[in-house]
Amino acid sequence: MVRLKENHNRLKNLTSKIDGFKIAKDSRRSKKASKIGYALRLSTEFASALIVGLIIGTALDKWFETKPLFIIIFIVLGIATGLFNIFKSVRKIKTNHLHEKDSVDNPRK
Amino acid sequence: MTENHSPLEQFTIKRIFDLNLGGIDVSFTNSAAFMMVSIILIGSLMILGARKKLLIPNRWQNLVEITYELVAKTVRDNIGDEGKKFFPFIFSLFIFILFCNGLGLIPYSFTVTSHIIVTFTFATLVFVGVTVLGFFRHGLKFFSIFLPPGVPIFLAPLLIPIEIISYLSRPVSLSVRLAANMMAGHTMIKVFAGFVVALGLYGIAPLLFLVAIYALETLIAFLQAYVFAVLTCLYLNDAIHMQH
Repeated sequence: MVRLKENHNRLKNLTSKIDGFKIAKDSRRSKKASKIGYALRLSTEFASALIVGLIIGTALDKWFETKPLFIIIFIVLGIATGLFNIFKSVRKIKTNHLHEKDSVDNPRK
Repeated sequence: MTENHSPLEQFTIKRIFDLNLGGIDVSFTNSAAFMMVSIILIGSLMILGARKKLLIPNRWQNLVEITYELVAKTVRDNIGDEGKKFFPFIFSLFIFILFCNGLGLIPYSFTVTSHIIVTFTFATLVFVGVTVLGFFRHGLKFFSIFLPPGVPIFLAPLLIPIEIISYLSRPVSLSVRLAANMMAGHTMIKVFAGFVVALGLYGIAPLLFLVAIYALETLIAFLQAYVFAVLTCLYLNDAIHMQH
């Protein structure tokens, strides 16, 4: 009976040890991949906002026949949005990065 | 240079046979053929790989399980428990894009995802789905996504258009990213392959470089599919939990 309990405890220890390694390994691997992912993501954030601004501006100008009023307004807004998008993603990356660093240092947390 | 050796020749759509359905041209093209090939490959991999249900998985089953767990983890990390409902959607999207990208890397094949209309269709599907889901879940309160909480009211006239453009730019950036990456990579490979032929014996230098680029393209083919899936998860999460 005592031995059974001892075995049970050993098994439990081993399981938690394996889990700890798995978590550490997982976070290491995903960190590397996600870094490249972030770089690829940022590349189009800026351009796409500008394209959308341009499309909206052109459409409104065609509709109200006020060329080039809305194109100018929406290009400026598009640039602002592009910068804003990049700013938002970088802020997100920063918080994620801090979070990941924390979990690699203390895998149990 | 003849037309056949242009680096962009690989992106032309060719008709395999003509088909006309009620006045709409739905001819079977090489693009459709490669989509079908990837569907067949995915189907056979998933069905044959998961058929035996071994306790100790063999290679095929392992491959299926790894793919499943990768997507399941992504969904769980990004959306949480509520994301389980969307797992089939994300998984289909991820695996289809992955196989289309992967098949495109085989010489003489066609890359479906290098055409912006294909990726834009995916992105629009995600975009419309997320918007409908948001309104379904939160009703008219979903409009508050355009005004982040804690913003002074005098900034609202400036921030609301910016947030609206930012929201509308999601499908554009999602589709352009995938298509542009695929197209740029494949064009670059073809251009360098042209150098190998043109330089004769010295072509060994661009050939070595080509091998490196090819490895990079393999990584990008996977990463772009993964990024697409992750971003879809993030957008779904925005619509479900409504936070900034």
